[in-house]
Amino acid sequence: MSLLRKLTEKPWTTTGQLEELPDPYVIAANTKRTALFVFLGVVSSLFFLFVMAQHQREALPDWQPITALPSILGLNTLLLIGASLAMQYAKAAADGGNLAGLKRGFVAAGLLTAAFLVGQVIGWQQMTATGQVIQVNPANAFFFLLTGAHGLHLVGGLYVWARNSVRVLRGFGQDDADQARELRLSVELCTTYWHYLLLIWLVLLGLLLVT
Amino acid sequence: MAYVAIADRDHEQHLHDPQTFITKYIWSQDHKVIAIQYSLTAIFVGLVALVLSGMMRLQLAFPDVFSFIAPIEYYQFITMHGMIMVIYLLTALLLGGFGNYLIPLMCGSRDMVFPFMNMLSYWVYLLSVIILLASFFVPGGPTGAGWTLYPPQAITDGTPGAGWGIMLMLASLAVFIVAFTMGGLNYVTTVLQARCRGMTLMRMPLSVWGIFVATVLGLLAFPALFVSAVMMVFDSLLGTSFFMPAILDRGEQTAFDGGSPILFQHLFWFFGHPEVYIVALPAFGIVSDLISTHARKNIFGYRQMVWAIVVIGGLSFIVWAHHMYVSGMNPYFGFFFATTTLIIAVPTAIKVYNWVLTLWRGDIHLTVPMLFSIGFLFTFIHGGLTGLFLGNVVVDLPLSDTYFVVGHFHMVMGISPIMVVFAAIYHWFPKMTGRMFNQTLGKIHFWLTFLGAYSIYLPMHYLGILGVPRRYYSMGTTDFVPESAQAMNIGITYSAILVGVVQLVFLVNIAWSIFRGEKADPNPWKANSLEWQTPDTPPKHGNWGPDLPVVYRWAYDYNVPGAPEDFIPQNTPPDALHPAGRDHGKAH
Repeated sequence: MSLLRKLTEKPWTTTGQLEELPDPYVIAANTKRTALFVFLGVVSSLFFLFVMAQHQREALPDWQPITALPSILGLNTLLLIGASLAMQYAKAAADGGNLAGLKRGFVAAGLLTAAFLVGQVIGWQQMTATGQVIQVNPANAFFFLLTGAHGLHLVGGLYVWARNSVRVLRGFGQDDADQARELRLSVELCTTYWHYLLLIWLVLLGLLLVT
Repeated sequence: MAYVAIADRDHEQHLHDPQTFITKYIWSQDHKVIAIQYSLTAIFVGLVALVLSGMMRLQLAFPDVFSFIAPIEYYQFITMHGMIMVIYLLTALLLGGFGNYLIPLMCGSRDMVFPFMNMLSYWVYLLSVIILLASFFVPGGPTGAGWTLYPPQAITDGTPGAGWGIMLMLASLAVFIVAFTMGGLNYVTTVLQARCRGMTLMRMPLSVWGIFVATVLGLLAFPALFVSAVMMVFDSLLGTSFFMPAILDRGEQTAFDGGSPILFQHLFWFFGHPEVYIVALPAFGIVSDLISTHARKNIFGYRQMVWAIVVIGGLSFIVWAHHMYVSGMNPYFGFFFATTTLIIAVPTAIKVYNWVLTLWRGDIHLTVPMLFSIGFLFTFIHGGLTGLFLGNVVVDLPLSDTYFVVGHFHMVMGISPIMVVFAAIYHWFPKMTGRMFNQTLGKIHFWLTFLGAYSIYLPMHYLGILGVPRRYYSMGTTDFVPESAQAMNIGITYSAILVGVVQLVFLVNIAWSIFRGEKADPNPWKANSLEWQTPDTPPKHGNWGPDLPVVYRWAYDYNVPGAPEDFIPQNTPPDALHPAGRDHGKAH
């Protein structure tokens, strides 16, 4: 039933009508997917507001763009794109029942993400080494704020990744369909989250480059 | 295919079942226990805020009499009173308390979908309350920046609590937002994914709709407060200039340069206005169910009521700058926000008409919950109408920062939701505890609170029109304010103290009834929604015994012609009413 039809139901005319509920596993999976999407909504709101704040702050006369963005940001971006691709590869492998591929992709995604975070810290050091500390100008302040907020979200992602990678490395038996299904769902949710954080990073990077 | 709920699978059920006193009542993952923990904490901290308001009133009525209320304390009391009431009492009680209690029971679920995260939500909320209250005990005391925490003064020396106080406040808010997000993810996901069979979206009671939409608003709006809190902490601790302009502090140039206090106001009110509806929408939903149940009549215009909740929720995100008419904004900007603000009156008025039309020719039972619900209609209409004044830029400009505003917002988002909170506590008390409260004490509580609240806030509108400014510690010599204003202030204070003391009647009634109240019928109000149909009262862990309920109808089948009783619970199949299959054409 479409959402529009659901929301225009006249409940006083449908007394006694019942619909079949889907399989419990479908419900369980949809519950986790829904929760992730709602959480991504919260994350979007957070970053949208950070970006709007920067947009407003930029309009004030004392705003000067960052003189030199840390050179490592390009490499970092490639690392994060790599992490996202590895996650996608892990998901495809999980869907195809390819356990070895799943392990490779999933572990690689986490390591690439950790490398990205290390790279971001190096980026911060490059900034501060050249005297571009947070107080110097509002653009710097936003640079540290936005990269920090994005990094913290990835740290949260890595926590989930670490918990799941134990299960991924342990793998699942040939006939344990339940476990395989749950693992596939976890990898799917991680993939969604990673793609989304990559998207946010690209938007933030674009913003850093144009201002 | 037979439907097996997730929590019905044996192994999971065992995992969740509480074994000891500690897992049952302290580290509980049961939504009902968490709801009560949330409610008790919120009521406790609300009583602190009530005492603070009493002290403010004492100062206003009898300036210079109470030596322990100096201007510094007065501003600290204002700030803490406002913030506690709005966030730590109302938001926590309506969503953390009633949201937790009602969503799984009304939707026919075993529990929230993520019980562990739900438990964590409460404990993190408690942590935020502790951080907040800790600010009373740090050097400099709590922040006195006003509940809106506007920079630059919030973090500039000279404002009470500009050091520790404001940092603890911002930390506490950030922690609260984390707690709310964990709870909110649960509420939204449970409503979307864990309803029992037959509970379509449009068969949900309006309480669930109100709480659901309010939670969505909270999830999208609280990040604005989070962002502004983080940026203010940066300004204060790291010396950035997000909000702090170039400023002279006692003749010395500070290091701040070029920041925008107006930016903070935009962020704050982008959260602050939806916050009004985060509090109001659950109240709207709950009061709809209560009016329908106690008037023994289906809610008038159910679908309009649902859509109005959704539309109000949507509109609440594009009206925030009506709190900033005096900030020097572009007049066209003000015109836009005045327009959107007044448009909200349309869905809100639909709701008010529908409540009144539900009462119209209903079989009204003047029970305690019903009295409070009708009381809400008065206070809400009153507060809503003064909102029309303040929503217009030209009327707002002279009234801004006067007691008219104080009267307005206390009526619309202080007294009105509190009326519903009391109504809801009295309504669901028999289900929560299995015992009945004392009706006479409940009625005394209602009349004194309702009339007392009116005698506090109605005169404030008049003071506002006289031009009495809000936030002033004492009036001093102010030519345009007549002497009689002070007499009115004294009257308001007496009423406020009366209303404050009367709450003891409520507390005593509740405390006594929990242990000594008469055993309650499982469905004392003869209500239709699922929470009244549980096999046990109070409901046990898992709510429904071995089998989940199946829902065949909406929650408003009161006085259906031909039915054996004047109510038909949601889980009653059509055949059960009319074994011969005559259901007046309603069954399919």
